[in-house]
Amino acid sequence: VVLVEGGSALAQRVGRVCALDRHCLDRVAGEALSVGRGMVTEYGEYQNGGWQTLSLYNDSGDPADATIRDCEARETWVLERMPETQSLLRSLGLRYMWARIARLRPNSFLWEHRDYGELAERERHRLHIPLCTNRSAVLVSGGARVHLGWGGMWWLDPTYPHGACNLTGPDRVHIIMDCYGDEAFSDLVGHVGLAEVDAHVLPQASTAELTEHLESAVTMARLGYRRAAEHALLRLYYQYSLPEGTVYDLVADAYRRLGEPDSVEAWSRKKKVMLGLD
Amino acid sequence: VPVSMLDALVQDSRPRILTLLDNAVGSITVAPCVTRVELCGPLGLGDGETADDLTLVVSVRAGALTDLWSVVDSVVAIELGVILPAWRDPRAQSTTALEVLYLVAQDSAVRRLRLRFVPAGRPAGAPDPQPVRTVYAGLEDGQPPADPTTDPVAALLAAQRQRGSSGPDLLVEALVLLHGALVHGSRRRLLAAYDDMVRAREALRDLVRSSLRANLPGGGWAGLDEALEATALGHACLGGLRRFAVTAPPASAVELATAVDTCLAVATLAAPDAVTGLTGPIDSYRRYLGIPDSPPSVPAGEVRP
Repeated sequence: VVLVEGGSALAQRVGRVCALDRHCLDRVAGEALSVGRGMVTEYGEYQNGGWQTLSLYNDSGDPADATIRDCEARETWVLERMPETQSLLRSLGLRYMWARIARLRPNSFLWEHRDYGELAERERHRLHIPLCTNRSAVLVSGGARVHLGWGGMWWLDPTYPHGACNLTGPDRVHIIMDCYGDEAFSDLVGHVGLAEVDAHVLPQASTAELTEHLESAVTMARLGYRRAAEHALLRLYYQYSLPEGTVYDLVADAYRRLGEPDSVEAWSRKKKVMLGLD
Repeated sequence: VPVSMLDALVQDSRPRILTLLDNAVGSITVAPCVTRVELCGPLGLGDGETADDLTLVVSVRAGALTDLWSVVDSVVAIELGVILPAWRDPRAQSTTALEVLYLVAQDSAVRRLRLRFVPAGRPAGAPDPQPVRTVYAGLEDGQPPADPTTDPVAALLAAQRQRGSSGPDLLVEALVLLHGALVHGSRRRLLAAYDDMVRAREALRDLVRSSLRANLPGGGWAGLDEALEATALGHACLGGLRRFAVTAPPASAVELATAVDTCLAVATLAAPDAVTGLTGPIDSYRRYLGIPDSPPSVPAGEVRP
């Protein structure tokens, strides 16, 4: 595996764990798509509305229970109806905290954020199995865009700032597993790596470019497109390598320019919540 | 049958394109400067069954038109989602309206959303289709323009022509026109399909010519064989470009796939950065239109389970 050039920091955040049998993946995808109607929208403030999940492992056994927390997870009744998926997840031998089918609709974004911040100190890891995806569906972390390609399992450390998007679609469907660190996990991720082809290092934004984007957002907001103005700035996280939290600062700056101190304050607070800075 | 059940049936039978119409009109009219929206084409006459594209004439207070035109691509991309970047036809003949076309996904369907912006109080003018039904009227609709001498359209069109088309613009143009040729062909509008195909060929030709600096007097096809044969990259492009130049308008998804593959192969040789920069959108375009990609490669390493 060729690590991305200068990407040692990136490789500490995300990487490909192993390849998976493509026929198995195809059957799992078929099951996941057939149960998709019951998906629930959770974590509304972290996204623009196109992120939905259905739990496969949690402590309640209810697939609609989708707010993750520390627990001794058991299979939900949905997983019991998905024999291929059940078999795959059991075969990994992991100690699950949560497992979900996650659908990211076209034109959908999970804004820059950190996970696990509300949970107690404990070793946790996140694994992704892409079932349906496209090249516009990417994860961004550490100033790089990574397409979690079909055919493998991927590892992510979600305690670093990161975001995900499915820019132009069609639907992205992944199985996402949160699990505790143990010997089985260590064995599984022993060969994790990131190939150069998997990652695209984003360009730095110049001050002039950021100013131009800010001006454009202010124009949108003045015309009345306030939501679009906010989202245009939040989307810059996927376009440029930016210091942590810059996109939230930009939205606050836009409202400062518009003379709306309450909105400035609200976005400053939102930045702290999203990035666990409280 | 209870009325509520009939209502549900009516709702389920509603042409899905009306949902896109709702969303498009709802998104654009958030701005108070939009005074009126008119619907063009058969959908405006109540024929929602056959329509799979939308053309809207958007009247905007003249003083706000320049600002709105500068942000409309972002607004549409954010509020509706687009498959490819916006396409502004550099050869649009209208001198009275600003026009832009988006490919928008609606579930698994690809819709063509064409927005034509005019200063409030001015007619939409050519080209067809003409507006046939008003679908939104704001508070300022019907009022005379505050300053009838203010009309930024000519200046904005001139700026657009001055800017010209970049490599990615030309690639988007070719892909949008290929899709248009398929849509027209499927409706038996064969001459319109032919027109789209001719223009798709010209867009790819211009991409090759500008990328490889094979500029020729007159800007047409004549002399291009010799100019491209003179360089290694040009020579490599020549076979694909010749094939594309004689490709008939696609009449099926299979033919579209062949045309798109040829187009992208030439574009990859001539302007690799343009293709790379559009990797995600091109992949989405292919998936929505059922164009198969090369089989997914299985990454090296241990295979589980």
